[in-house]
Amino acid sequence: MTPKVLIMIPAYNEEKTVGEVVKSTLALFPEFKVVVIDDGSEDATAENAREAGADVISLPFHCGGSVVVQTGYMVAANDGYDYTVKIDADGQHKPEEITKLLNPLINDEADMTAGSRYLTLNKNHNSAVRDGGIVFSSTLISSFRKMEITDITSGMRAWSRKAIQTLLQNYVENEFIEDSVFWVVETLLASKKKLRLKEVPIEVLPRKYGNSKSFSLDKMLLYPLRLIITLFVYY
Amino acid sequence: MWQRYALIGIIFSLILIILDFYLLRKRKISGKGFALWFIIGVVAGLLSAAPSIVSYIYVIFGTDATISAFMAAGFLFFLSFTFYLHYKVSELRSLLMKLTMEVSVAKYSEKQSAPSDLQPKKRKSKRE
Repeated sequence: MTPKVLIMIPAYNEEKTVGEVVKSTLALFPEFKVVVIDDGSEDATAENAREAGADVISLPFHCGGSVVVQTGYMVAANDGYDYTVKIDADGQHKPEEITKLLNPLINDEADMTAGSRYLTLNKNHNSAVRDGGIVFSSTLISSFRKMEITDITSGMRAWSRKAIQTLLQNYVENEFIEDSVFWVVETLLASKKKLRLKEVPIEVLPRKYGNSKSFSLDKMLLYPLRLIITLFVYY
Repeated sequence: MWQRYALIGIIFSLILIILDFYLLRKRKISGKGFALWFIIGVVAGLLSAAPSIVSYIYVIFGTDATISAFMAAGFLFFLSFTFYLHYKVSELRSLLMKLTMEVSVAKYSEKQSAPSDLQPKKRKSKRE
């Protein structure tokens, strides 16, 4: 029996790329449900996603990545999806690599999977500062929770139904998590709840348009402080 | 030895910091909010422990006033009330986000279950 799979694509002002991402995903996986979660975009993101064939959930205002992903979890839990995959709307993730994320879940080797840019030699690297930050935070979390994580901020992920239900329950009970540390919190929660997390190698393409919304100077400077606070709360 | 008002200030700042840590640990306050109130607590504690620092402010502003009990109490009340408001705003923000999520998902589910060819009926005008 074919598993019921949801592919969620969070999007904020990505009118130039979202249509192409949806089309290429649906071309590869026509049996999967593709849902774009529009985070209060001011451009034609929602229209372009709909035209490309995706279902669209529109948040009434810009809420941030953490809320968008949790909205996706809610849809997955409410509609009873077996597996949920998240890819970015900026075209940096390759839809053909979705199977790499799904296979360990289907084979029951993991409850959640994350794509890692650092498991193989990747020619499309970020800035040295950003790479350094990711490696530092991944190593820190790995050593604290005795896990093997190389790319803690990766936005290409997949979850089983069990993982979605466990994480969603935890998020509902608590204060909303800041976007910059969302994946760190999720990794710590997964480890605490004994969810099996597996990384798979992926290639991340350079952005075609605009700059990354998850990386700015103030976020970079305050990130170590946020990381320490997060560890204190969730360790 | 410390003056009584300095002791009150230090106890106040300690309570503020402990409460800040407690709310963070209980995940009732964001990391950003915690950092802000931790700094405020530390500064309040330092000013209470060494009130002479405050005198530099008088030098900068060119005023010549001493701290009255009324002013100190007012300042502590102001800090406590702002902290409480920050906590409430944080709580309400969290609820607002949850509500936003639920409404958006409910609207989506409603659209999914509704027949696609269902169009809103045009209202008949009174003239007709």
